[in-house]
Amino acid sequence: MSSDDVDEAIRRAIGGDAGARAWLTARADTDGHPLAQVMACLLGGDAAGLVAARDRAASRRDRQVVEIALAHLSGDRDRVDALARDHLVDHPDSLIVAWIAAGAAHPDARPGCH
Amino acid sequence: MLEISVLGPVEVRRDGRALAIPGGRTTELLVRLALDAGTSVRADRLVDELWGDASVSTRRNTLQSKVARLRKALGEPAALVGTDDGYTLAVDRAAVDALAVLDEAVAAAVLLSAGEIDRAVATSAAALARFRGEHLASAGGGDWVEPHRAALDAAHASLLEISFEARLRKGDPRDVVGGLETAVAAHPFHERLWCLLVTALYRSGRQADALAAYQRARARLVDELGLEPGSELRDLERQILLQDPELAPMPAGAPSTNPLVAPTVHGNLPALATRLVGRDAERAAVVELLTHRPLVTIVGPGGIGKTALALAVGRALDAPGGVWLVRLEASSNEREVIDAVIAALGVAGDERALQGRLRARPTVVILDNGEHVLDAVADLTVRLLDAAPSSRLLCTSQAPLGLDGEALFELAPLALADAVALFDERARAHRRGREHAADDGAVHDLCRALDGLPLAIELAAARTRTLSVSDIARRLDDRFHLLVDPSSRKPARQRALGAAIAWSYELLFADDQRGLWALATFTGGAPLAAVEHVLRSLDVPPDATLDVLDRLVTRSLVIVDDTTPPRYRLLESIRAYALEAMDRAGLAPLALRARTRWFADAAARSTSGVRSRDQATHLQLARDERANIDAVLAWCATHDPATGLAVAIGFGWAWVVIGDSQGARRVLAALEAAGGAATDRDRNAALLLASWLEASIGDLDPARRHLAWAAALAEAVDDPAQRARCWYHLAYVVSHQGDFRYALELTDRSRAVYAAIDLPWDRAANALFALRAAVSAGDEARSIDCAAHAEEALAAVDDPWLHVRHEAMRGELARLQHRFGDAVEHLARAADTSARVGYRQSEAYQVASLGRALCQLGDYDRGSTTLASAIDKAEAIGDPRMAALARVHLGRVRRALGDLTGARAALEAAAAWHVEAGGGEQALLGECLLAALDASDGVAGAGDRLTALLDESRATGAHPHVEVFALDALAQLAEASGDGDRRQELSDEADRRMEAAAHFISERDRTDAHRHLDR
Repeated sequence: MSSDDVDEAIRRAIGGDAGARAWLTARADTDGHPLAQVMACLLGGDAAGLVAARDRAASRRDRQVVEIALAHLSGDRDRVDALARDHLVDHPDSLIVAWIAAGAAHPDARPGCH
Repeated sequence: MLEISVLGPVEVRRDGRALAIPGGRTTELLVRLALDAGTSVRADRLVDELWGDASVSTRRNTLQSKVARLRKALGEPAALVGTDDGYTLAVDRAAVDALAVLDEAVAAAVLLSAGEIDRAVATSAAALARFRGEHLASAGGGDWVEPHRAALDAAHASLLEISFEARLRKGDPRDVVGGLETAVAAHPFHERLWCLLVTALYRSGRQADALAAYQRARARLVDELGLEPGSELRDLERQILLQDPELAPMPAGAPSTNPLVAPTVHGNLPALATRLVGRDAERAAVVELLTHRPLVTIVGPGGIGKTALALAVGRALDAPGGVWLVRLEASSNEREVIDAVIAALGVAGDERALQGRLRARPTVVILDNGEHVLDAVADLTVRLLDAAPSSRLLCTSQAPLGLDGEALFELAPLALADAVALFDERARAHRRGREHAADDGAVHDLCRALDGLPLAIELAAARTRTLSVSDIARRLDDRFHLLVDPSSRKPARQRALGAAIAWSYELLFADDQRGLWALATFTGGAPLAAVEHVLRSLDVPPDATLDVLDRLVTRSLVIVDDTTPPRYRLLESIRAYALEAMDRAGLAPLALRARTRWFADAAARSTSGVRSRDQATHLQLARDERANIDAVLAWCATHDPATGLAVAIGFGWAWVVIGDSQGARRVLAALEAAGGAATDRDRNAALLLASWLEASIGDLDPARRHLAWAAALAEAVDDPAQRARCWYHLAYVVSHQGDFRYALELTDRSRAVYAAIDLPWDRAANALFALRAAVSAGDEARSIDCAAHAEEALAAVDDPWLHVRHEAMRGELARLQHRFGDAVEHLARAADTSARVGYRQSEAYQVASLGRALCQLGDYDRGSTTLASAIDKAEAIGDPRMAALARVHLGRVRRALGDLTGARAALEAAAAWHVEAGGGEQALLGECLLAALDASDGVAGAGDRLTALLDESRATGAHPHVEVFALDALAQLAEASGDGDRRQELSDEADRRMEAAAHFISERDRTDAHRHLDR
């Protein structure tokens, strides 16, 4: 599983593609790709899984995504907003964070509830 | 009103009318009391200083009678007050001309640096006009006078510089050329005066003459001192050749920023990272306060900008001894406060050396962030200003020191306009070209809410990269509400700062928060590698460290010190917050242990690193991390004493090479903390290091005690390598006591061991100390053997410290072999290398040797000047042992030049130190020369002292030069008593012994022998 595959799956999952969501959930369990794992946890509302993902994330970017996702699942909107802004300045192509930030802006539209 | 002039011949006036003061000791008593005007001088000190040679009862009675005579002469009983244990001359400092000029020198420097040219010209001219002939001409020749004369010499030179510089900036440069030519003729080695002359010539349109003046200065320095000009003078030549526009005249009111007119000693103020916004009036006010008051404290709450203001004030000041910043946040007790000041100023000795350093050159010291050690700072401040009243202390603290004479400057928050300007400037820097939607009203409201606190404003502005001003204001407002605690007694301003820090902290990613925790474990900052190590223990991957730090810097939470390599540091209020947060998370013990491990690893690499080509890196770490190493040792004392001992032993050799006067204390404290946990091997290593460190600062008795203990341990474990190390360490110590034969015996023993054990560094060090002992003993055959062995042993090691010492020893050997030209060459090269690499103690020693070699080459004038320079260098780093050695030689040289007063002053100062320290290199020679001077002055008992010294020297045979001087002086006494046969007998013996002493002294030194011949 390459990063491009994961990015593509995330893009499609955000677009509502059920197949992509299932693919990500399966890959998160088997391959342990941190972003796949984050996405799967967000889709399933699994905060405990995110803690495991944090331990696995090695790059600075992935660690930030995990942390923003954790803040999101814990409902800390102010923190999500501030951290997401910070993250997106350095990583404007970060799909998950952009999606979370958009969701955080609309409390009733949690990504996991799409 | 009494006015007392002691600078030249004594004059006392009461309400303008001259008073007659009895001469002799009564006048000397007046001068002595006047130099401490307004302060009680203990009676026993007065009698020691003024009547040191008389019996106790005579001295006390004489003091009382002289006090009575002086009181009567002053005609005003209240002017000379007797206290329980001493006497006070009850007049203001300003009424004593010698004290007034010291204060005026500082005031003139401050005025010049603040751009007050006219006042600087007037103040320096008035002060210079007070000088009349020889300084303290009526004070007699006691050695107590010397420090005062030195301070006045320094003030005079400083005033000359200020006067010329101010006039150069004020008017036509042609007006000062003549005066500067006279000044450089009188002070040919004063590079700053040469700088001013070269500048004045250049600005007068005389470029060729300016370059010729540079060449004249260089020729004097190279020919007479064997030294190249300093960087200021060299840079000036380069600027002239490039016709640098910076050399154009400065406007008269401009503050002094031109490197040409920088003070002789610059200090250590950090480069300006960001512009100080506002605070112009505050800066001017503090500068003005410092012109009149020796102690000023800037008081205010955390985050209000005390340090920034103190640094701005420091940058606006010039002082002959430089302007120095001492950060006290890492100091937790009085000893650590003193250590911090000593380390910042680069003094190699203890507090006494620091006081001497401040007294010799008026200095500005900024004691920053002292609120947590207020009593220690207050006590030290009193002692320093008592010892050096012309220096200035600028303190920053959240509370006053509470001292009489302390001038308080209460720093208020920024005015709203300045606060807004600060926010705008910092926000623009953070946004770096991004669109900034100006919202003046919101910015005003935000700055008002933050109470004009600069740190809080900086933290808020750092967030404008991603948040709008209104967002920041809203979030901060939430935070303020959260912090509102009706029971809190904290002032609103402190709550505002706390809110700003907490808010900024909470918006950080967890890795960044841990970055703050990691940094908080260090005292006074840390290098990147150390932060990375602690961060790893907090589960942040190493490759994230740089990114974490970068983000913290851009959020104004971390300061990067402009050093190579850079160091990262937290402001104290942020550090306190981070420590609390880490503690709450339960991770403090883990992080502190990781910090300790990093320093333990660095310590384990230190000794081998310091003894290699990478020496500079390892020495820099030991210097830069002094506060952290102290903190680690303190933590280890209660948590992990075995590691603490390993850390102290590991850095011990670096402290030897640096000349850290606190090294022995650290090693011994770690050894004591380790107690039974220390192995015999560690104990042996610690004791050897402690003894070396003690001996190098002249504490010879404890050094020998600790060596004896180390030797006993080496015997107990029957380890030949340890035994050999003990022997050559002891050789180093006994050489300080002049016992070169024993030193040779010891190094012989070690040499035999090293022939069978492969320890190249120890073998080379041992060979070098053997060579030193052989040369000092005057044993040419042994010296040649030792030199060959040292040459071969040194080839196997890279340690630059050993190699520069080897170069110096080649010079000493050349001297022994009467190749004085070669000696000057080797010694000048060694001294130059030591100066460049920063071996300041070795440099002082080598400059002293160079002075002696110059005399042996026949140039006593240059030799005398070079020896005086060695004393200066030794005193600048607080090395009294070296200063005493150079003084013995200076006494010998001044005597040969016919300056008996100067000779006596130098010898008495050396003897005083030798008595206090229990001995010292060439102590016997110093005593002998003093006895010879006394004999020629007809002092009773001088003959007996000479005979005793002769017997002592004959007994060992190790001091033929002492025998020669003693025999010559005794021959003179025999001649005076009419015993021609005895005189001839003694003179013949002196001539015979001269053959063995000719490497050490020359015929010209034998002034007693010449007196006989002249007659």
